[in-house]
Amino acid sequence: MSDEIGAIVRALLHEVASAACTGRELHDTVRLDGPGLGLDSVARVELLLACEERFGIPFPAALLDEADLTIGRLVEHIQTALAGRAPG
Amino acid sequence: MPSTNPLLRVDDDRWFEADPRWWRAVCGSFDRVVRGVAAIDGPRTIRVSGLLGQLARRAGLQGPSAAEVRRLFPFLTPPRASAAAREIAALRVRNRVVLALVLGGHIDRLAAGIRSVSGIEFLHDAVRSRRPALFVEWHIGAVFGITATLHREGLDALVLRNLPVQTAAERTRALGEALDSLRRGRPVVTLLDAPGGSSTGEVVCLDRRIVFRRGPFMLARVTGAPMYPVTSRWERDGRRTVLFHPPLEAPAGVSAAAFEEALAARAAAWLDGYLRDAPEQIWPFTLYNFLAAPPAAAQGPLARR
Repeated sequence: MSDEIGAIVRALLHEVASAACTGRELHDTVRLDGPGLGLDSVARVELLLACEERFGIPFPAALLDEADLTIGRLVEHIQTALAGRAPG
Repeated sequence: MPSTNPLLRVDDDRWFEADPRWWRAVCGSFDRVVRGVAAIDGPRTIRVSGLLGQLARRAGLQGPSAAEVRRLFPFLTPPRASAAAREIAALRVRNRVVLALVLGGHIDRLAAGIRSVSGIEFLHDAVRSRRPALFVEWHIGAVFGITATLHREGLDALVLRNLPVQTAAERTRALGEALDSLRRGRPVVTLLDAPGGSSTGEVVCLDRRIVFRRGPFMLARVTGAPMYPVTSRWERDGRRTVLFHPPLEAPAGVSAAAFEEALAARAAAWLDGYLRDAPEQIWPFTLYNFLAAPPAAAQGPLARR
């Protein structure tokens, strides 16, 4: 499941920040901010909004505060949110 | 009643880096003194500070010159450009007092200097209906005076200028807070020409190619919030007229990028019209930023973000 979520997150990243992603290997350890993809505040909020819409989870506001947020951490957060939503 | 808005951060506001060091030191001392004096008699301090600003300009200690004003507003006659330059110099120092009053928590004294407020129904409607609404300003007029208007009207809004936005992380947090506010139906007040952050593509204003901050346009797009320009205009007697203007027309049936591009162009056209009508309301650093910007007629299409 995490691979599937990861693939979707990477596709969303390409949508909101294609220039930053082009020609890069988007490993789980790649940071979204300055030293990694260098997403600015608007792109970061757009990505979290896209995750909210695509996965039907609450807007992950807690991740706004994470200075060293990585792709893997975002995938993990989504996975946890989806698991918490699952019946039974 | 206490203000619903936290105080501005002291270190957010600085005098021009371009000013001589000794003059900046004088201005820094002025700031400290004025915080004390303004607390005693805000309106009189504002009037006197306007005169001080004009005297400083006449003594060559600060701009702008009439020639600089005419470079940006070439349609002004020389006498009108001189008058505008004097008012801009006065505005610069008056704004120090307004900021001092805000920083000192003397919002009541600041509110007392408001001559009139028009269009406030836009804000009241937004609060009552709990629909998302963005109120946008620029560094023109007495921009910090908007806080006093919110206080006077007893209205709650998130004023982004009051949040720390120095670092990328702080800006992300502020943007997230603004998004949350709009979704909960709490109006957001924001500057389109704040420093830092990501930019829109180029837009044309006063025949120059400029950019705005992109965040407010993204917020308008994702929340459907109408964008209302707000101005706080200095009058010659040192009082202020606050105007909430009708919303900018939102583009319909276009892609996300085209929406932001078109709305930014409309915001630029609105600002262009306002400043052509009231050139004396422009802040000195805004004027110098415009003068340093490439002309609209420069070769090549407008740069997209």
